[in-house]
Amino acid sequence: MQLTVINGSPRGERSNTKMLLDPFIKGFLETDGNHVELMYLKQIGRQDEFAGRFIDADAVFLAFPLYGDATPSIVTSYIERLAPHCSRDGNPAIGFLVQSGFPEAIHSIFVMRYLEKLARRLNCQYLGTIIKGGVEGIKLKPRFMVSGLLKKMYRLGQGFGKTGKLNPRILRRMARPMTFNWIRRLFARLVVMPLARSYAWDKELRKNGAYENRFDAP
Amino acid sequence: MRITILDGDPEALKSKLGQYVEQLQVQLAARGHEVSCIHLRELSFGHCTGCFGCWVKTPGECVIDDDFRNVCRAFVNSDLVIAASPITMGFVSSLLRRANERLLPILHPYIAFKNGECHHIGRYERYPKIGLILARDDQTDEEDIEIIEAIYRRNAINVNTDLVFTALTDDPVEETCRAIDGH
Repeated sequence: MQLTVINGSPRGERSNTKMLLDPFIKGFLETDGNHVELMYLKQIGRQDEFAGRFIDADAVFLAFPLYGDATPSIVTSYIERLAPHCSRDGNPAIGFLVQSGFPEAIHSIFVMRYLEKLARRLNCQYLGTIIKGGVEGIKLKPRFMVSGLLKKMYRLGQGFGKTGKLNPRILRRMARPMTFNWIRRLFARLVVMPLARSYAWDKELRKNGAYENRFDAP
Repeated sequence: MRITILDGDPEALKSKLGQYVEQLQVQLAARGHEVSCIHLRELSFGHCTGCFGCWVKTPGECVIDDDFRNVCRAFVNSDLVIAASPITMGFVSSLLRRANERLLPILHPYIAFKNGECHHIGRYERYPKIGLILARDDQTDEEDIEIIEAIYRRNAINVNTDLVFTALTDDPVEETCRAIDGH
């Protein structure tokens, strides 16, 4: 199977999106005869070329970070360029990965509805959408906290390479929680949020000498 | 009421949306509102690179020094911001989305619960109400409009405000003015 993986993160090679895609691709390539082509939408000058080559693959996997509850604008501009392929016969199957900084899946389900509709509009078979929250800052977390997630991505890629399908059980597990119950909210308020403030944001603010100005409202 | 229209139409020539926005501007001014229209296509501004500089380096201001800094100022100093866009491929223009993502500086990195969900806290005491004006293309159906509206309703929650109306360029301009007057 020929798979095109499209990384829609404005951070490109340094993105959390890439960190999630790498094990997926590794798993996918374990099946003989599978090939992957990577495209980075951050290379805006190449978006016309990337849109033209959309139809070359058997399957396309479009991955991006949630920006303003939707697609980053570099993904929107790419999708605009796919207009000539609408309703065409023989378009590739398409799947998506939406990863967000917010920990709950509820933030991503609105764009998921748009993605399902997009697949129909393009006349592409819809493979599903991987929704994963709580991804911002994974590079700051100790490895053991992230390895489970990377393993799930690997298993998804492996399964997809063999069967051409995304394992729905893994998708469901990754999308949890939809929202936080009161216990998790309490835990987040008392433990996670203070930790995120002091170890991520405040540390960066201090490093830049901007801590005192953190509430500036220019 | 101070009203800012963010015109996300990439086409400069008299489009359906362009004409609608022009008429709306005139009628709103006649009703005593202070209206300004920002044609996003005429500005030079890049996309958000996800660097978080606006949160951790120069809090409240994007590290990219381009035309968008003034748009952020106009946004937070309005009572109502109307986002206007043609619909393409079932969504608003990438031009309007580029503007939406560049509004990140008006939020704060800290997170708090709103209605039981995580959201960023505000940097400003108050934020403008949001309105949406959409122009259909020949592929647009009701579901597309619902999808866009739902996403803009979520965007409004993110900036501590509400989406107060969604209008289509098929609706009479006066009807849209009345919807605006009600807020």
